Amino acid sequence: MADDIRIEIDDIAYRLAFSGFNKPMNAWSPNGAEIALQPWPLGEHLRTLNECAILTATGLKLDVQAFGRRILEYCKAPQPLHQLFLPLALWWANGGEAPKPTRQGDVYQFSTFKARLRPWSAADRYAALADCQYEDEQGEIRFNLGAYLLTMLEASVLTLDPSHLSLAELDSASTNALLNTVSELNVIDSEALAKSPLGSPLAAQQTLRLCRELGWTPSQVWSTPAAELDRLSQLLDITHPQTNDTASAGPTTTFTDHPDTVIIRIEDD
Amino acid sequence: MATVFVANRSSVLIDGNAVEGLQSLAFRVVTEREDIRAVGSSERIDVSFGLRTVQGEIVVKSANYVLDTHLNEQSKFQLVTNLKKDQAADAPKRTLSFDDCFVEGKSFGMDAGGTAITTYAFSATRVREE
Repeated sequence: MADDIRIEIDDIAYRLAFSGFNKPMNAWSPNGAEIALQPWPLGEHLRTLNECAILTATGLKLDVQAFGRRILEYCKAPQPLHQLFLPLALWWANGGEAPKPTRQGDVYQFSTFKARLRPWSAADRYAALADCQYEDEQGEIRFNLGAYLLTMLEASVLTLDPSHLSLAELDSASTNALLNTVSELNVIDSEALAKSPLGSPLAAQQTLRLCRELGWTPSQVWSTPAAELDRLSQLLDITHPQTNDTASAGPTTTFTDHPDTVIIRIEDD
Repeated sequence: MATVFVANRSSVLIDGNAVEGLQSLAFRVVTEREDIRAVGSSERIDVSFGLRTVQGEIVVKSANYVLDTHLNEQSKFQLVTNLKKDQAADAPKRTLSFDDCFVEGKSFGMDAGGTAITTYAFSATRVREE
């Protein structure tokens, strides 16, 4: 049974017969126009992202208008209603506020499904980056964002439960939740690391020392008991004493090297 | 590329007294600068200029006790350089005056002939050409 709800997006009040993002939904505008929105699958989402995301000098930009129109075309909404229902279509494709999944080991419980996830390896990422770059007819380098995200999902999602679910058919709410979770696994928040105790100068120095000497990853260092770390550091001090690295950067710049320096040389008689 | 002058007949005076054994004098004018930003624009909308000071180096043979005293006492002095290429009356000459100078540091080295040289770093409020 669909819930009759009202939602305001971009100052337009829509009325919805909402039964979840995995079921079709009817929507009415304030002036009574009606459309039916179909579940927006992950496969279509990534294909559309690829066509509407543009790589600029300042980063990735999404052509929101084009993206919204593609959603409405997919749902076979009449063309004259596209502009009116564009904000709603974007909300529909975003899947609403995705609650964080609960986690037990490597199994994540989402609202309507479970997934076993793993972080993708550096080799997976390099391969995806190489495969998703291409040259267009004008010789410009382009990036296939949809294919990249799909490769990341396929590498990170080991199993889905129920087993009949396929990645490409996940609805927009599930897509949003899964993409967010997989991105958190695979993309570091460098600001958070720098601000956390693990990013402090002392922790960074000790962590890198152990990584260099023992070939460990930072995660292995951080999960080692603290007393064990102290023993390792002490043994390393005995066998490989630390030396202070004095500044030995390249050639130093003297005052007279500056291009705007005026030099007066006094010659002898 | 730094601008280099060579002066055969010259004198450098610190508070009116000549500096013996002067090898070279180098200076540059440094002006603070800040670009003014505006929300919504990726270009600067103006430039704000701040303090302008003069940074310099005096290189002398051996050392100079007057400059050592100024360094130790952090006292102010005036530097005037009279630059002349040769003794002829019509030879081009330049006079540079550095006002409110302070010696900020010194370092030692050896020149190619094995003579000790001392480099004094100084700053001045302004440089005037007369």
